Amino acid sequence: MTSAMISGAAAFAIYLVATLIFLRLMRDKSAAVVVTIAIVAYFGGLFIPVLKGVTLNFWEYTAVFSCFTLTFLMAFGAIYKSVSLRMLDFLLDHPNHAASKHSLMTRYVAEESFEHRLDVILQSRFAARFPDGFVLTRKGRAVARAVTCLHALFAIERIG
Amino acid sequence: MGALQFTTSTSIDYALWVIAGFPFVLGALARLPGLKGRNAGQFAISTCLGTVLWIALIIRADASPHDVEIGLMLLASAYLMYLEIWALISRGYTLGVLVTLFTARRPLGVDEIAARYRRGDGLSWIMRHRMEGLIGTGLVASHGDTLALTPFLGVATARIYRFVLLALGLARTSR
Repeated sequence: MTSAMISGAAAFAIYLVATLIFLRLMRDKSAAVVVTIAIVAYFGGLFIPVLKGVTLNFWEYTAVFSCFTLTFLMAFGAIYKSVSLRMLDFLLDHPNHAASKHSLMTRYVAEESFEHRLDVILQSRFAARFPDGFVLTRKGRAVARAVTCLHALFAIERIG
Repeated sequence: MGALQFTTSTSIDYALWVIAGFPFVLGALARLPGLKGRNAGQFAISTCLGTVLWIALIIRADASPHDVEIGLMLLASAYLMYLEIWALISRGYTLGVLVTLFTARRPLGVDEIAARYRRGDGLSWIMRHRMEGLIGTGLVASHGDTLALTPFLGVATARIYRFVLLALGLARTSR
C-alpha cells in the first residue's frame, strides 16, 4: 500500500467515526452532517499529510477515499430516505405485522412522501403558497428549468 | 513539506476517459427505442459498457495490479456519483413536484399537484410502485386490502433496518 492509499483509508475511517458521533449530537441535521464531514475529511486527509512532509498521489488518495465514502453515502442515503424501509418498520409494530393499504398510503405516501416534500419546497423557498395555490419562486423556476433541460438531454419523460 | 503528485498511470487515464464519456453513452442509450423510459436499465447497460471497455483497454495496456486497483476504485466512485445524480433527476420526488409546478405555469393547489404528479399518474402511482417493489422482492405479501411482512425475509429486513437506524443514531419515524 502506498502512502496515498493509507491516507485515503485513514481519512475514511476518521470520517466514519466523526459521522457516527455527530449524527447523535445533531439529529435534526443528519444529511448536512454526513456531507459536511465528508468534505472536511477529504481535504484534511489530503493536505495534513502533505504539510507534515509526506508526498501523496492525488488520484490514488481520491480513488480510495471516494470509493469508501461514496459507498457509505449511498447506503446511508438509502436508509435515511427510504420510504419503503419505513413502511417495513411500520408493519413490524403492528399485530401479525400487517396493516391496511389505506393506512400505509395515507401515512407514507400522502404525508411523508408528498406533504413533507411540499414543506421542504416551501422552507427551501423554491415555491411560495398563495390563496390560489403554490407558485414557484425565481429560485424554484431556475431549478425546475435545469431539471427539465437534463430530462431533455437524457430523454427522461417522467420523474418520480 | 511534502508534495501532491498528479501523475496518472494508463489504467487511471482510461478510467478518466470512461468517466468523461459515461454521460454521452447514457444520453445515447436513453434514445434507443427498446430502452425508452427504462431509466434503471439505461444506467445499468451504460455501466456495463463502460466497465467492459475499460477492462479491454487495460488488458491491451498490460497494467500492473496496483494500477488496476486504483483505476477500478476511481471508476466505481464515479459510477456511484453518477447513480446519485441519475436517481435524483429521474426519481426525485421533490424535483418531481417542482417540475409539476413548472409545467403547469399557473398556481396549483395541493390536490392539483397530487393529481398532476408524474404527468398525471398521481400519488397512487407512488404507492403502487412501492408495493410492486416490496412484493416483488418478497418483503411483503398482499392479502386483499392488507399488506403484511413476509414471516422470514420481511421481518428480518425490518429488524435489521431498525438496528441500523439505532447504530447510525437516526430517528425512527413509524412510532
